[in-house]
Amino acid sequence: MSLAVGPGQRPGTGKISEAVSRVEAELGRLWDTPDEATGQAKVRASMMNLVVVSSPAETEALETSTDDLTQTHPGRVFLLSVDGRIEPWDLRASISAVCRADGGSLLCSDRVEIAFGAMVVARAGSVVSALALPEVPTIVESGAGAPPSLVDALAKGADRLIVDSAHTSWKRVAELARATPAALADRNFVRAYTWRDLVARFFDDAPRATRAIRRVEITRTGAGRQEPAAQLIGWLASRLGWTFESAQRARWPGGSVELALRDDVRTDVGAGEVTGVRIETELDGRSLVATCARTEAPRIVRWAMEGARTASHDYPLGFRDETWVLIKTIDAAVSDRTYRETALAAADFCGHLGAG
Amino acid sequence: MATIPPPENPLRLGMAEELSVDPCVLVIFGASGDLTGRKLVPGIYMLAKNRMLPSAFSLVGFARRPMSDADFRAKMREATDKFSRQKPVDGTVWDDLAAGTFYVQGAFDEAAAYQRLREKLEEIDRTRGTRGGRTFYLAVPADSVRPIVDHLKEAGLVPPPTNDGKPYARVIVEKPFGTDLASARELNRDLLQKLDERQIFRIDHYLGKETVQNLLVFRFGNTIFEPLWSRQHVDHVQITVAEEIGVEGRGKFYEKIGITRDIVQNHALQVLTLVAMEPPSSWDADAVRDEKVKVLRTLRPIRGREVLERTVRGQYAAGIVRGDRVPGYREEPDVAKDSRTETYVAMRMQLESWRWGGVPFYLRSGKRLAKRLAEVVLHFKSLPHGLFRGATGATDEPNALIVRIQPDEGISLRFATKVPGGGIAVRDVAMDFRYGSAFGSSTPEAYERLILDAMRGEATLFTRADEVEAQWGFIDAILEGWKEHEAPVARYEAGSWGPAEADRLLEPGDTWRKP
Repeated sequence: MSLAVGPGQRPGTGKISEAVSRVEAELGRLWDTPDEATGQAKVRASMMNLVVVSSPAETEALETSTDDLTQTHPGRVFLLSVDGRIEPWDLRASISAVCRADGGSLLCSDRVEIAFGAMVVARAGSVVSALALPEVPTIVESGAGAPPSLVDALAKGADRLIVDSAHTSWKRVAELARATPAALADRNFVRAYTWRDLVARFFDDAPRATRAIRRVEITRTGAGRQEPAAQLIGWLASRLGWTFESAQRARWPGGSVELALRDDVRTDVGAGEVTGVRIETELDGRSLVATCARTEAPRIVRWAMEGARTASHDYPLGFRDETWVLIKTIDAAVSDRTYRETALAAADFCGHLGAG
Repeated sequence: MATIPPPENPLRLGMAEELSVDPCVLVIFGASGDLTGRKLVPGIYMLAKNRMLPSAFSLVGFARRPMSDADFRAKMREATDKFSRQKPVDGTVWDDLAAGTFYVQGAFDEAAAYQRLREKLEEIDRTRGTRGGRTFYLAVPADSVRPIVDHLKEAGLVPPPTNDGKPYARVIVEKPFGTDLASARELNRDLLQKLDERQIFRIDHYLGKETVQNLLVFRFGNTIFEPLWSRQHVDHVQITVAEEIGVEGRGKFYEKIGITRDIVQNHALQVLTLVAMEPPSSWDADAVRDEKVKVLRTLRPIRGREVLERTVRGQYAAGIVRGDRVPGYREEPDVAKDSRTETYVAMRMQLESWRWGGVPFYLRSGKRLAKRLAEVVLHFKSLPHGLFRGATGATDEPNALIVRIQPDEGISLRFATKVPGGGIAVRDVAMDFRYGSAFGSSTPEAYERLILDAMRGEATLFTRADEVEAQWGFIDAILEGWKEHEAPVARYEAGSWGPAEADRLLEPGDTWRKP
């Protein structure tokens, strides 16, 4: 079903609340009515409210991806956008159910799509609060092309806020981190997990070598929308207590670390991706050089140490689809604090770099 | 206890949710067997798909049958395509897993094969960075366990655990853990001569089921249920583990085992311990298992003539199950025509403890029953005063809390409610929580969870030596009592809920549930 507030309505007339009431009523009817095809009653499955903010152009793709997600993380999905094609004081809403057979029952989640006119964006938080399922967390995702004003309006009521630093600047991520007490997660932080794991592995048997790092060099392909090295450098800084003097030097109470970024011109790797990490440090007075770098084989990283320790292995980077990535951003709460600190440090680094 | 990530490495903080397993090789003995293809490798694939395995992970199959690495990979891919709980299999994930999958051919009693295995594992350490971490899964008949462990020890593949837990070597042992108390003790003693208890993971796949684990969360993660969980409020408890299937061509095996050894000694008693245990001081493996063992020790033995009053054994006769006519047990292949092996058992148990004194625990398990089902039901005490007695529909049926272990995992609370409308009409309703409704279809298979736990060194959901022996101690007394007093073997029709004789175990007014 689809609902719209008629054109020309103004704030304070109560028309938005009427539209909300109509959506509520339609949702009630949706659940009270047996499935048309089977005649079975629908059973609601609900773990969360998932509110995805994006541009209208993304909505169709999001319908598919959120349907995939609700197979394992059922709940009420809101797809929100600001649509310049509708009147500024209008709101357009449609609802639908996504069902799957489970044993003898029909398990369903519902989806509410709302396009806001430019002048009613600030009311989005109130609209979502009125329509959200009670007793389950509200997770807000800032998707591609999400208008910042709409994300800001929703962030206050969120229990968890998901960003994607592949297309959101670190400055903006840091703004959100400071503005909301909600837990913050990042799809791109999940995607980059293997790199963090491989770097951490250098120090599993020699944690004291983290205190002697002299130089970090990150190689990456260009033309990404954000600086691809910022996340790894921000993560290292947040874990090891570094602060940035400049984009080339970090300092910690025991010394300083040289930072270097190198361009990789290879074309077999996507734009804006890290392709190698080289760390120079010391262990027991001897030099230790740790590197991991993508090989020519697809998705393989060679991990190696030379000097005080010697080892070399190849690891698959692995491929993870975006539904899996989103699930991790929803579920992986243990890394929330680490990520928040990483985001703030990455934003600081980008500030020195003159990047966003 | 998990050994990685080492807390000293500051870069590992906040990574635990994504990587919780040390680099390791999982070696499956019995790699050409049914369990490996049906459960283990599909489970490992799901772990890989959900990125629960370390990047430095390798799988090695070990079996008698000659096979190349490529043959083994193809065979396991075929099995995963067929049995994975998520289809289709993701080719990229599988290719990564297959690249680290190898096969070693050898007989379980062939010393040279263990040297070949050792060389292969050392090569994998060098090429894949698995750092000497080893988990050996013995998916083999019970009589092969000891020779395999002996050879692993002789080949230096299971060194004693170090204080920092690295590198580690662990051994997962499938049930049965012996066939009686004496054999279980002997097996434990032999294993403990070669291995440390911390290295032995006795697997009971029932403990990997979400609802079984949820019993602990339900009881000790909420404040509202535990106060009701005692003799003050509970009238009796019923535990049912029912199967629709018969012996499925395993008549020869079943003749020697019977359902008491096959199901009650392990699965059913494990469920009982989780229902009845006191709160552990922590989620630490030994803290939980200490409390479970205490339950088994408070279980009043059923011995001698008591078996005639407190137990009933039975055997299915021909009948109709799910609409199909099925033969009786004695008509099954490889079953003696005068067999006295039990395919059904029911018992009334008493726990001699402050919490449960005087509360009967009724347990029943059988083959060819009306439906496949495992559940625990707490029947609460009756109303002290029937205020609504005589109201339309009022049954005075006490409240019941039903924990469904399979199928339709979930929890229901049955209570009385007023029917809308004038007057007072009362009807029982069920407040129903279903795992599928709340969490979608993501519930992992028991083997996935348990393999992962073993590789992490997390032993909470594995059975400790003293638990196994306490379980056998209780069961042995019943088996001896049956033998000594020639306990009758009641007949029940296949497709029913068991023999009528089981009703006499119940207190007056109680009935077996027919869910």
